[in-house]
Amino acid sequence: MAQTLVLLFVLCLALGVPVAFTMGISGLAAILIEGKINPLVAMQRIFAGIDSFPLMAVPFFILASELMIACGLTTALLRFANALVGHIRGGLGHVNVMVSMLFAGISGSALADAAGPSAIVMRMMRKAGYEPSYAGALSAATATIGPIIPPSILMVVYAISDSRVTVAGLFLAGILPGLLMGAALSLANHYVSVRHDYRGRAERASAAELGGSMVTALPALIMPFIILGGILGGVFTPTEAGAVASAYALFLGFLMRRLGLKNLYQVFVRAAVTTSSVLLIVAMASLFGWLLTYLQIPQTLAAWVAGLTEDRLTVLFLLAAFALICGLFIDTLPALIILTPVLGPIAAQFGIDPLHFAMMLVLNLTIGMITPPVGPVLFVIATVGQLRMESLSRAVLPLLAAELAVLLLVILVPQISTAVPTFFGFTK
Amino acid sequence: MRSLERIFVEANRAAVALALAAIFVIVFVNVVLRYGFGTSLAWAEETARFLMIFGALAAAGLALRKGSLVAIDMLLDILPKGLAVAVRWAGVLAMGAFMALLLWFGWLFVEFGWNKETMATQISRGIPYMAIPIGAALFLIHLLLFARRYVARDFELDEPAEEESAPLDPPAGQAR
Repeated sequence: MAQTLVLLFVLCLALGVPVAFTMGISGLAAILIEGKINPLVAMQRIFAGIDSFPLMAVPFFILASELMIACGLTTALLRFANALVGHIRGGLGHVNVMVSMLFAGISGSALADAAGPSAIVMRMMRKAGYEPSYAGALSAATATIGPIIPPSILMVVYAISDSRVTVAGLFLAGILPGLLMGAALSLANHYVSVRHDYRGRAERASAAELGGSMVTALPALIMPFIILGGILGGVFTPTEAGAVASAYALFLGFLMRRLGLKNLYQVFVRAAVTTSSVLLIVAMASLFGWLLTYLQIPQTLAAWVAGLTEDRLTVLFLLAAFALICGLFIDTLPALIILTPVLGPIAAQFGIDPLHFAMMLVLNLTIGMITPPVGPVLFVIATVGQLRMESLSRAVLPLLAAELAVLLLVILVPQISTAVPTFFGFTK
Repeated sequence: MRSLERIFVEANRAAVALALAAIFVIVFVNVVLRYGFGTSLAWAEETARFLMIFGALAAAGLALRKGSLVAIDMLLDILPKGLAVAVRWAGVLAMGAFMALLLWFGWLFVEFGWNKETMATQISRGIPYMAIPIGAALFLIHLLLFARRYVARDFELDEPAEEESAPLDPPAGQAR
């Protein structure tokens, strides 16, 4: 049965069947061919996989960010970032990093960032004389900050796959790694800018410009504080925080007169369809993951790893390498749902802090979004910027190195992941 | 036929947008009730959950049309054109067969749950379970209508997002 499952999975995946279907088809087919499990169990797994109130944070965070974008707040964030760091050497590159970090506070997905603010800054960089492939590569790399800095759709899904962590704990754990990612990418951008003599804007923004742009961006800047503050203060659950954030964005839209009725309808349709493409993966992965557990694949793997080494750090590196390889070929979200129940118990067995492990895995698989051959963010940027994958893949290498350095740090220093949640008392 | 398809797609879009709007209103109103009036609706969480499941499965066909079902096309890109098209048709068949099975077993699942009650709203469990066969049926219709364009990767893209063209003032003095 295990052979049927894995064989069909790899075959469908390689032949370009959508990932959600790949897991559904291989799971259901394995059950039907083997004939030992009632197929209704498969239906039950699919239904139960998305029958979860915490998971409802996903549609709400998608909706909130769609509403914020429709309010024109992306542009406001961009102006603010430009006034803040535009004058430094390689200015627009730093603006690119900064706006992604700010946008990460209103959006929980890297693809939303890549298609939104990152794509806009990419065009600006090209107009300003940056090499197109570098502009694209930097935009792709900065987009990966989106799911690390809270809110994060990946972390909501992670918390559902691993009962030892909470969404709130994960959100807090993501703050430091997210800031580190930003710093590392800025550093890499500085290095590239010096070599290629990319300058910043001629003069520093005046205090008035900086202040003015900050005021316009303020509605977007305070959103992460509403979300995190509400969750930390015990005022509402992450799901409710998502609903409140959506209501807040809706309110802003009416206040700023940016949301007509027709526009609003389109926003809801878009958010509903995006939600579907995420939840389908979650539902089908729930069937697939259940079968993996039923076939005792995690246990077998854990026993094998335990036979290799006793050292905690070596195990963590082994798991990281394994996840990195999976991330090359499987998209982030499905990889996360499949790997969490498989690798999580191994990490627990070796006494690795669940939040530490979670950050390693999320960061690891997020970096996989900008690695060829399967790098969804790279695809988006290549399409939007009409760049060739080859040149984009080459230009992204120094930035990839910077992100891998952050991953290494996160693996070596558990406190990067655990310090903030511990400070707020969010460890279990 | 064309206009029938458009009505079908538009109705599907309206249904999933409405489901999302409903779960948003339910959850938000419940938060307001809790803080404003010290009470909450017992049926809210469960109803919102079922609506979310319905919306997720019912929008699968729309996701197919938009090309937002992620797939790995790397191998297809290296294959000769004719072979790649054949493989994509095989993928369409596989998706169709899977959804047909989901429709069938989903229906049996509804029957299986019909005499049991849900926790909070105490309706028949079969009702929320209907999300599976309904979603599968909708997807099959979309697949039938859209298969040719799916194979050609001719997806329905969004109208370009608002105000994309007006980012910043001309980037004075940027770079070289």
